[in-house]
Amino acid sequence: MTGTITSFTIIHIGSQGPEASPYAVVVAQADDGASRAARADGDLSWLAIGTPVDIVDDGDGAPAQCRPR
Amino acid sequence: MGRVVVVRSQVVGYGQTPFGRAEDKTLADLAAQAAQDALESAGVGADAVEAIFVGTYAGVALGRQGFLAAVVASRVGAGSVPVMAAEGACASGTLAFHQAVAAIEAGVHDVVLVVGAEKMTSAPTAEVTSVLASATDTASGSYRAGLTFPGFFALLARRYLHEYGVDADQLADVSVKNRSHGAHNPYAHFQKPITREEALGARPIAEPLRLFDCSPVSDGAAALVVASKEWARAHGAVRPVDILATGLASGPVSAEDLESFVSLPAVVTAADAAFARAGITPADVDVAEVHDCFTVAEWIALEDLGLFERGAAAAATSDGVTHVGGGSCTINPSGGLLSKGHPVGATGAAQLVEIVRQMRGESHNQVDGADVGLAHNVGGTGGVAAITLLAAA
Repeated sequence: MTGTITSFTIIHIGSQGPEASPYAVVVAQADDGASRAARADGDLSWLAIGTPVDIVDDGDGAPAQCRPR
Repeated sequence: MGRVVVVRSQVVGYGQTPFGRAEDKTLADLAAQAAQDALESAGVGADAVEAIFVGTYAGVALGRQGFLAAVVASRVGAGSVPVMAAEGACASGTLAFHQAVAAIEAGVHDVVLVVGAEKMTSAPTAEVTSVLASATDTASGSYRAGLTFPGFFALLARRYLHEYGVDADQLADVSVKNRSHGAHNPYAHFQKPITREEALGARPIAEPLRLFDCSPVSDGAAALVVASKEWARAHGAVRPVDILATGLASGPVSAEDLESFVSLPAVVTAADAAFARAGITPADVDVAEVHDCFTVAEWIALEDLGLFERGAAAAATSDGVTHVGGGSCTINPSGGLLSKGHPVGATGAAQLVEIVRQMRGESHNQVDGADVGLAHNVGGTGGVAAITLLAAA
């Protein structure tokens, strides 16, 4: 699925605990108009409101992943 | 002001425990203490109470106490009165209050004891975060992605800053203001003011929110005695406070369900309903306790309630307009959740206690001439909103 970032945050503490690496949660407006939430890990320097993204959901219960398009 | 609403119920007593870390008290201890204080304040015994409604969110999960309403009835010696618990995440306390008002105005009861309580600090932070994070649709993509509540409000903050061109440093002005208000409140979790530099230098939690942008995990309870106006008059209630209106609404239960990240639609709906029922407008409100679980939540609340234009709340806060003595409507004179603390089930009841104090001229941070007060209580991602309008009788 493709979309555009509506908002994002980099979470320093949360469900993984304070020792875990920061991760980002992104909400993006998909091309079909619906909003989707996804997770981004690793290098987060590319995150910005309005950035085009791909959201990949394996459907196996794991969170969907957000990547720059 | 020329209000035309017919007042049918009043608050005739209130009680509150200190908020903070209550290591030596159980959830039931806190709830019973606030209840007893409220009855004493009202000048009535437990035999006058016809029902008890309790608001709590994590009584079982964090407080290790289920069945709280019945336990409160037993602790205060209320006999066999009907009891009920209300749960709407952080709005649970006001939901209980709303049910009490509805029961009284429907003629079912004349006197109802309302209690909001939570015991949170005995659980590890990670467990508290996990329990709070479940106040959403746990099948949602945002929950599966690991979105905590600091993360949810950080999403709103990021969007608010982007949409209105506000400087992120202005978030600190909310916490500095509320901590300065809380310094006057002996019941507040934090009674020490902070500087803007301290706020801006604190560690990040969920960007752009830093430590002092986030309300604390707290223990505490608050209670109110609500009565029909006829009962209050017949029993010589001292300094009763009029209940003008309550408004409740539900809304999106996950981040991705929100159409806008700078508004919580349930608040708009509930506020519109409350103002319509009360026959007043936001311009009539002299003082408000709003649900500042995070700094950005205060800005969004002020705009959703119609107290400020869209995008104007940040500048108003930075300019001191929302401080005690700063403008026509003071925001969070108690210190708000950021300073007073946030024992979630107790929060709504404690907001109402502060507004009752303001209407009676008894607040520790009294707003001169306060005649109409508003309490704004939100649960989850705005899945529940509860607005209450009170006035000096």
